[in-house]
Amino acid sequence: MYDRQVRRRRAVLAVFVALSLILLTAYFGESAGGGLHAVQRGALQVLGPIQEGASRALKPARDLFGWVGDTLDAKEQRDELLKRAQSLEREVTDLQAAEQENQQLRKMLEINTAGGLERYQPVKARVSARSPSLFYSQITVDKGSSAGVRVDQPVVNGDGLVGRVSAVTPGYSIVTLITDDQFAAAARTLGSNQQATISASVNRPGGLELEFVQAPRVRRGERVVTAGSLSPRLKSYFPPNIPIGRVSRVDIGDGDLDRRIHVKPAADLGSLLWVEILTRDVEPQLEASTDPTGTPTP
Amino acid sequence: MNLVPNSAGRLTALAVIVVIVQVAAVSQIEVFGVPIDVSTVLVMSVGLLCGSVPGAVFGFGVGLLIDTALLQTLGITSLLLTLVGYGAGRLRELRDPAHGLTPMAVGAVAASVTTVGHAILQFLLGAALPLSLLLLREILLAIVLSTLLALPVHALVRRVLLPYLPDDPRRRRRRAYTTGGLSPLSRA
Repeated sequence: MYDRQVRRRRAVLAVFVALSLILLTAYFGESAGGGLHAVQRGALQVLGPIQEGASRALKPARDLFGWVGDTLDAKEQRDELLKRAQSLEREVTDLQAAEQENQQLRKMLEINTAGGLERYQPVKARVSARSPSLFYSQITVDKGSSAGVRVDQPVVNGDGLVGRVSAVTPGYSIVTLITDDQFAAAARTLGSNQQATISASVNRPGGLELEFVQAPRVRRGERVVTAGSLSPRLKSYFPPNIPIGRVSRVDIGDGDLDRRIHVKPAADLGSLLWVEILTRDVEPQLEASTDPTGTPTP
Repeated sequence: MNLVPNSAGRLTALAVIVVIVQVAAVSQIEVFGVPIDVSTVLVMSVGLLCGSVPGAVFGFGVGLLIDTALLQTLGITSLLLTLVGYGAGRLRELRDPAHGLTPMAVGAVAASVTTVGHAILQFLLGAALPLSLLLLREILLAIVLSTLLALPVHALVRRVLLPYLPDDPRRRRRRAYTTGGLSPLSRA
């Protein structure tokens, strides 16, 4: 009895193992259009709708488990992505800073060649510090007297006039920006060709005003450039035709004292990275042209 | 066969339902990147509860259904699950383990047999099988998952088959074991 049961048990095992191996061999050996493949495809045709129905019916349960798993995975992914985001953020910051510097340097190159500033021996300087005080529009640059920088030399960037050197050490210089209330320069408007003095706007921080305009013919949108020196006896610190800005608003007022001509600076003084200090003095023969159609530097 | 004859229908229904649920839903759930597989522990549980012959037959049937439903190479899963069902059944017949954690241990062995056996068979059939640390990690995770699933699946199978089982080891464990060392399955 026991032997018969053992034999039967072993026979069952042998039969099913053999059946599996036969199936395996036959299936593996036949082509995709073979009998077993066809049977399998037929079975799938029958089981397919059942599977689909079951899949839809069990979707909530699957989603629940998936949600648990996703939550666990999400924590890990979050930490990894946070690290990546920080790394990319640093990279982007570096790239943006580099791009900004590149743009400013390129503009300076253009203004040097197209605007003829090369003859003033421009010295490139990196802005190393800026006054945090609202009351001082000053920057510190990393070039000083050892690079030929002296007090009162004009400072420009690719967009136009930035300011003038107000203090110098051997390695660094302080530049007073054109928006500082201590700053003033001779200027002229292009188009109406009005001579005036440009200085910081009292009412609008960061803005400029044209003063002592001889006739109220200035229009909005006119360009304002440095006037340069008209007389060898009254030498200007600034070469002629350096862009200062554009007239942004004209308040005529009742009289000369009420008249306000607002100018928006051409240079973005809030994001200065590189500037150029024009280290060669302005010669009397480099006086500004009085031709109103004269083309200024870009 | 020590089972009540009517149990064949219930085992068949169990096999079909579990395979459909496995294929349609459970396989799509991944834990730590490894899909959950209840078929192995299901066959193991049937073998452990019903004996070697029902275990082998059930394993073959479940394997055949899975291979058919998933258009896999016929015979591979059948072969492995036949061995799992038979082995679990033989353990029951020879040792009659009544410890509550037995399904976990047997489930771990069963999962090892199926995962490693599957890899070996695929390799023998010429499938490109990159032996990497990632693969080993996934095999280990699959074994761990099956081990953890063994207890609930075993409890479910025992509940389904309870009316048809000749004797339940857990019930028998509660009373004094006075009939000797052999399992009721092997005495029959």
